[in-house]
Amino acid sequence: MSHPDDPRQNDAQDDTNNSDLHDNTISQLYRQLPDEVPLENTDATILAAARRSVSARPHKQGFSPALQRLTATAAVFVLGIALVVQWQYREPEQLADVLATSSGSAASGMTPQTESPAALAEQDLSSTVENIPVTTPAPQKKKSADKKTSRKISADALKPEMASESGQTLPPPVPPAPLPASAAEYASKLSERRERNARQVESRMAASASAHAPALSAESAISHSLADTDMHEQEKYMSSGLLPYQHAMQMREWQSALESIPVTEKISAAREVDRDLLEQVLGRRQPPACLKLPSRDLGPDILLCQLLKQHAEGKPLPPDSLQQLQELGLITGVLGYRREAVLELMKQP
Amino acid sequence: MSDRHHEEAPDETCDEELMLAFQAGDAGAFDTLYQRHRGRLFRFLVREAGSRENGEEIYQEAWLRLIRHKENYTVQARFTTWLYQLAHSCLIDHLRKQGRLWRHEEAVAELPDMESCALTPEAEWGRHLTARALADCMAVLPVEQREVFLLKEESGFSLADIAEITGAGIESAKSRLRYALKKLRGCLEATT
Repeated sequence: MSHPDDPRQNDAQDDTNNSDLHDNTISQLYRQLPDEVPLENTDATILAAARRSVSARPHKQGFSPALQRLTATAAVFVLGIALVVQWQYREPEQLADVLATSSGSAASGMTPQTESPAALAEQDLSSTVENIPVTTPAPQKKKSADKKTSRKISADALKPEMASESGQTLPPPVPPAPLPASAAEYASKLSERRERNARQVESRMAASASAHAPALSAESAISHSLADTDMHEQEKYMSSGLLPYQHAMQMREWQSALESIPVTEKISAAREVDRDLLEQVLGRRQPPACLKLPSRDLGPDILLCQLLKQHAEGKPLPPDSLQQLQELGLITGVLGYRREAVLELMKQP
Repeated sequence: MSDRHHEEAPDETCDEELMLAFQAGDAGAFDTLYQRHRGRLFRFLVREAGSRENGEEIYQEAWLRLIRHKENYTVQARFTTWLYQLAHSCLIDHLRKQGRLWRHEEAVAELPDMESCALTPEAEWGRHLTARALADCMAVLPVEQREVFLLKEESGFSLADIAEITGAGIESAKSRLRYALKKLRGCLEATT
């Protein structure tokens, strides 16, 4: 029996014309075998699978699961790098401390987070800051909040001077609340230093009142006090979350010191500090780039920076700029870290 | 659907074009392909596997494997060759899983019931008897020889196609076919 509809019959016949490879009787008997077809369920299963594969095809043409995982991993990696770089750019000291702390914790393997000095200080700050006579935000705030706090503290730094000029008396500083062990250790050190600074100021003031010019004595007192301030330790505690507490302690220290200095001496001393600051700015032979903030919310740092910039660019200063510079320079000079902050601010593009 | 002549009706679209259309997302092209080859492939697998149950299982697996791997098909290969290669692969997997190639009893059990055949005319009765003898003789063939015989008789493949499907050389395929026919002739003469 032949296969008239089979397109391959001719090919097969080409190979099987040989009698050894073809037997008409057997082929005829084979065609007489009963026909067999698959079950309808089998047909339905196969056809349904084909339709499913076609319907699922556009989905498969998109990102494969492996590519999706790779893309997600790469995105997380890039975001992490960007975050670290940004952090390093903004707060390099804090990042270094965090990295050092994490590496130390990993090495020891037994440093609970709640027992770190920063954590203890943060726990304590909520109670300590309430006793501070200046308004400070919560220590968990970011750098912007810290800057705002600093400006407020700096502005408040003028209050003793103004109060003394107007004859008013300020309430005595409120003693700080009990501190946890790690913060208490620092507080004791700070207290010792404060007492030592106070003694030095008093002795220098007494000496300057008898032997030296008033301005020189104030300048000397300020510069010596600035020198006594351990900048490295300040930065360390600033980055560890003790910034408001540090502000409060220094404010008390310098409020008490400033109250005993006549205004004229303060202005003379501030002039010297401003001169030093201006020399640094002008020594760079380029005007400082001040941080841009809304004009109505200018802090002392921004205002000082703008005045210095105008001065560096040779532009005429406002009539009262000298007084502003003196007052602001007094602040930045008295608070050494504020002075450093202004310098850092001017370094920013 | 079950008519052998219906599925062998010529179609203007060749198998390769239909397969490419299926690759591109045309489910109707697969339906046409399936209707065109379902009967031959099913009979080949049932008779090669020795039982309808095993044959149906292999048949379904072969088509599902084609669907899964449809992206791998290229026009360099003929569709029928590729389809029967997949079926041959499924068959080998199944036989390896079974540990036994097939049993003669299963092949005999798949033949028409003798009581129903008794109601048919004498000519039909004799025809079934002869076809049953051929089925019995096919069942005792070695697997490789039966496969070559079925590929030639059921699907009409050339020796070159058979060699490509089974992975053997042309000479091996020719030798297997020659031995298969020789054994079938001897078996049929002995039974009749």
